[in-house]
This record gives sequence, structure tokens and C-alpha cells, in this order.
Amino acid sequence: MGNEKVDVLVVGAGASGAAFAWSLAQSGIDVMCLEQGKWLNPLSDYSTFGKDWEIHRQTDFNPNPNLRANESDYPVNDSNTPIKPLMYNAVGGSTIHWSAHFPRMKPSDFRVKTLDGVADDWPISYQELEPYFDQNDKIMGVAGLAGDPGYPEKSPRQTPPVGLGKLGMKISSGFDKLGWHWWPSDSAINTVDYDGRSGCNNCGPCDLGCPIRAKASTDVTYWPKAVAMGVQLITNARVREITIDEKGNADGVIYYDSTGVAKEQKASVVVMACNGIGTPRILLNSKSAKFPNGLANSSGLVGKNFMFHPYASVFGTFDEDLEGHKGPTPLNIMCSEFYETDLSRGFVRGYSYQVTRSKSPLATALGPEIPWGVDHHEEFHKIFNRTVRFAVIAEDLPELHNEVVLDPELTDSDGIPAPKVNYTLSENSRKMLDHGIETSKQVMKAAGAIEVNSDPLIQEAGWHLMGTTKMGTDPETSVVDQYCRSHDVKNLFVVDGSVFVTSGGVNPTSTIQAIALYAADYVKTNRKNILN
Amino acid sequence: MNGTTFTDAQLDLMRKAAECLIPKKDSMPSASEIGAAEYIDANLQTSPKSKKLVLQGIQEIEIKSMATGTEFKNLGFNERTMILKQIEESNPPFFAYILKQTCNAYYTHPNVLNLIGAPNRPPQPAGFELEQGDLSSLESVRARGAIWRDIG
Repeated sequence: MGNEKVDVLVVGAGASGAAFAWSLAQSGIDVMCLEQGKWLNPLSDYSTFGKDWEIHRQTDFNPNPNLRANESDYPVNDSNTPIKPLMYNAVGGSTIHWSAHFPRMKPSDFRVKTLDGVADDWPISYQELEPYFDQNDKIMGVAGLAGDPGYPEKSPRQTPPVGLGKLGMKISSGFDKLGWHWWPSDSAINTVDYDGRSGCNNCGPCDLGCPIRAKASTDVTYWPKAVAMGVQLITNARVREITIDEKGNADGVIYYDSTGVAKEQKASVVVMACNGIGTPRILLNSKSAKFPNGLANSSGLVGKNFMFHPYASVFGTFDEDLEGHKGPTPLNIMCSEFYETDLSRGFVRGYSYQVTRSKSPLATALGPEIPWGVDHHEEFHKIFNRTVRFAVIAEDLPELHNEVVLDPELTDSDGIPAPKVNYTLSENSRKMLDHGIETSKQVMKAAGAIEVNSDPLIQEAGWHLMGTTKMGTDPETSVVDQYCRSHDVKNLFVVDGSVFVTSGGVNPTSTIQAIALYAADYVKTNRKNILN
Repeated sequence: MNGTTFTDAQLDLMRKAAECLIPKKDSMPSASEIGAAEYIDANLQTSPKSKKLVLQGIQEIEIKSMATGTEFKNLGFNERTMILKQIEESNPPFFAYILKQTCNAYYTHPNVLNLIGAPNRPPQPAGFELEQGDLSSLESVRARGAIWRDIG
């Protein structure tokens, strides 16, 4: 038995699906969302009230779905990528365990071909997205500080910036000594009460879920508002494929409910919001006589051009206790000094770095820097609460051979083929990370670090999944148009990070959500045409 | 409190191993003193896969020890450490498991948290006071002017 046909069916209740559904619901459009995970209760499902809170990073809150293996997760074959894909599956998606870094992409990011002769320009611009960045900021609630010279002027931030604490003041002195850019970056964390949600109490581990709802995961921002406006959010509903009618239009999906029973849901419009791996997975699995290579794939580009943000880590050790456990782990100092292209550096495009606080006790002990045996205590005491970490976040450029495909053997618990990621780090990205490591070391030393170490490529850092249904105006070289609408199937949209043409050198969620709101506005404006 | 997976001999061996992984030093207790072996034992009861891994690993420790002519429990600290280094090479999954579980037991123990100067409480509900910090130097950052690339 299926449900009644709906106007718009959104697949995925994470960052983008939530924003899209909320926007449509404002116009009274009949919206349903199918989410493979469940609602989490911030007070009872998160671990930070318990003595064993750190151990949950290894189990039910491990960011790697293969290691976490919750019922709602699907496996990802990551044997052919040095960076392991990370995600969370629940209402709220990966915003459940994200660090809430909320920088926008910058104007130049949308014009990389024109400016730097690489990849492609986006068919949309920063200016076109700006109203949607602003709209999104109001719902998510952004802590920050106006006046960042790394950006065009922005609207006032909703709450004051995340506190620097002793550690932040120490490291900012390094930037100041070098005369380099730093700024308290935008962060989707309420630093004071905002929009019915609490201000942050600086407990630390944002990655374990925020029980006081200060961090803006979409289960506590968009979804309560969307549901109140009538959006039907169906949980434990794992979509297998998009179905098509005799004309080749999408007419709904087939999904499995929590008991493993296959159900059909019909819709006038289908919207994919399953992240840069989940979306191509379902499109590639939606094969038919008319679309033998998967849906929306006449270009052959579904799953191609997959981008991560490759990260290097640099950690400086200081000879004093920096109280590194106080405050959200993502300190949210961001440096844009090396963001824009300067070919004298030996690579094209650029990177930023984010500053994070010290690791918690168990995470410190399990780090590669700490040996077991007789030297264990000495090394532990040397770094515990005394380290500052930089994550160098490099702009990865799209390459056809980096891809998401369907694994021929591996499946999830419902028998749906699992995705496989084939990814190689490019020479340009490698050079960028190496440059970032060297400049990070300079900041650390200027701030007084007594020792600086680095990890050239963080393995468990595949947070950002982008590029697999590229946006563009030419159906031969892109999957969706400038409104996120499939070139091939006119009532099919993709609104997650899959549509990214390039990756930028900052965290993508703010831009993903702005694009989802922009696409939703297009659907609302053209509803007569699109819904029919 | 003893778990129910290990025999007394296995528990004793694991205590000796934990003592080498995180030894006693100055005021810091060894991992065996805070009950790491018992912690590992208790966790095995809910994980058949890990149980097999650990029981086989313990057997491997004994075999390597007997090759020296002495049971593991009767070896000195340095000799036991040497055996564990061999095990780290020969059976990485087992070694990684017992090292992680030993750290899990140690760094969630209230005495240890006190001794390392970490808060001996979960992050919530109290959280922490955090200084906003001095943002005055941002004036000089701003004074440099825009550094984003204006594309017109």
C-alpha cells in the first residue's frame, strides 16, 4: 500500500532537504520528506551527560558510517580512497554531528574558469545567492562578527562570535605577529539564546550532538517549523529508486519502511537531498529501459567529479595549559590569507584554515602522538590541554576519475547496492596542503609553540561530499541546470552538495542550504508549470 | 569485580599486559590498577567477534612467552613489553583492540581524570565558562582592507 500522491517529495532530511521543505511549505505546497534515519532526542540520545561520553565517538557517534553501523546507516566501500567518507543518517543528517562551521563560499569560487582557467564557472553567482544566505542564516542562527575583510559585507550576524578563550587568544597573537588575516568565523551555534533555542554553555564536544540545542542541526532549526506548517516527515524510510512514468518523468519513489517492506510513494516532483554520495547512489540505482545508465544521466556525469575537501592537520604544542577543553571544539577562528589564487605558490586556487581547540582526554590518548609503554605519561602530559590544531581545508578541483559508483556486491540491510568511492588526491591539492602545513607552522611558532607536528592528509575527514550531479547550462556537460533541475527529467531536482561545480576552500553547508532555498524559490515561482 | 569471559589465568595475563601498556609512573597509576583488564573482560561479553579476537590474542601472547621458556605472568616488565611489541607487529587487530580498550578504561576513570587535571564530570549539564577574549587586534586586520577577490 502506498500513501496518497503528494506535490513534492523530498528524499533526505539533512541540511538541504530541511531548508527546501521548509521553504516550499511556506507557500502551502504539499510536501513529504522521506528520511532513512530517525528523530533523535537531544536529551536522551546524546552522550554528553554520561561518564562514558568520549567512548561514543567509537560507537554510535563514530562519524564513519562503516564503523558506526547504526541501523539507519548504509555501508560505503571506501577501499579505494585515502580519505574516508563521513556522514550521519537521521533527521538533521550530518548536521547532527557537524562542527557547525558556517562560512559562505566567496564570490571568486563561482568564477574559477574565468579567473583561473580551471574547472568550470558556476551558472549562478555569490550575488544571486546572497539573499538566500541571509534567509538561511536567520533560521540556522549564526554566531559571528561583522566586518570580515575576507568577505563582501554581510548582514548582521544573529549572535556574538564564539568566545576565543585562553587558547584562542594565544593563537590569534601568532596571526597578529605575522600580519596575517584571521577572523572569528561564522558558526551555526547560538552563543546566546536565539529563536527559542539556548545559548551554548561551552561544553566542548559538538561532534557528539548538542543536547541543549544551541548548535543548529536542522532537526532543531528547520524541521520543527516545517512540520508545524504541514510537511509530512516520514522516518525510517530508505529510498531504493526513483520511479518514472511512460513519458519518462519522475512519478515517485520506492522505499523500504523500518520493517523492510517495500512501499511506493507517488509525487508530482521528486527532490534529491541525500548528499554527494547518497544522491548519485539512488540515481544510478534508478535504472529502466528508458534510462539504462541511471536516471538523469544522459551526460554520463552522475557520480563523476566527486570532490572532498582534503584536510591536513597541524598541531602546535605550547608550554602552558591553554584550557583547551573549554568551549566548542571548533574554535572558529578562520584564516583567509591564502584563499585566493597566487600562482607563485605553485598551485591554483587556495585554502583556508580553521582552528580547533585541544582534544579531550581519551581522544588525546588515542592520538598517534602518544606512545604506549614507559613514555606514555610524559607524552600525554606534554600535549593534553596544551595543543592548538589547525585544519588546512583545501579547495579540491573536480576530476572525472574521482567518482561514486554502485558497488557490484556490497549492499545495505535492505539489499540496495552500496556506493563505492574511487578517489585520488590531485597534485594541485597536495601542493596546496603542503603550503598550508608550512604556513600553519609559521603561525604556531609565532604564537610561541614549542613543538609543531603535522598530518599531511587526515584519513577520517571526508566530511564534505560534493560534485556528483554537477550544475551547468549545457546538458552534455552537466546533470542539473542553474535551478538544480535535471536536464533530462524535468520534474526531478537535486539540492544537496552534489550540484557543486567546484568545492571552494571552506565548509560547504552554508552554501548548500542557500542553494536549496534558491532552488525552492524557483519551484515556488514556477509552481504552475513545474507541479503540472 | 571479575568478568565472566576470562579465566583467572587470562585475567591475570591481561592485567600484566595492561600494566605494560600504561605503566605506573609517579602519581599516575598503571592501567591494571584502575581495572583495565576487568573492563576489557566485561566488554567482551557483548561482543562475540571481539571475544574471539582477544582469546586468540591471549593465546598468542602465551605462545610467544613460552618460546622464551617462561610464562608471560612470570616475565619481568621489560620482557613483557618486548612480547607485546612482537604482538603489535604480528597481530595488529588484537593489539589495537586491547590498547584502545585500555585507554578507554583509563581515561574515563575518575581518579585518572583528577590526576591529569581534566574535569571529573561529563561536559553537560554544567558546560564551562569561556572568555570572549580580546578582539581589539582585529582592527589592524580590518585596516589592511578587503582581501577577497572582487570579480565586479
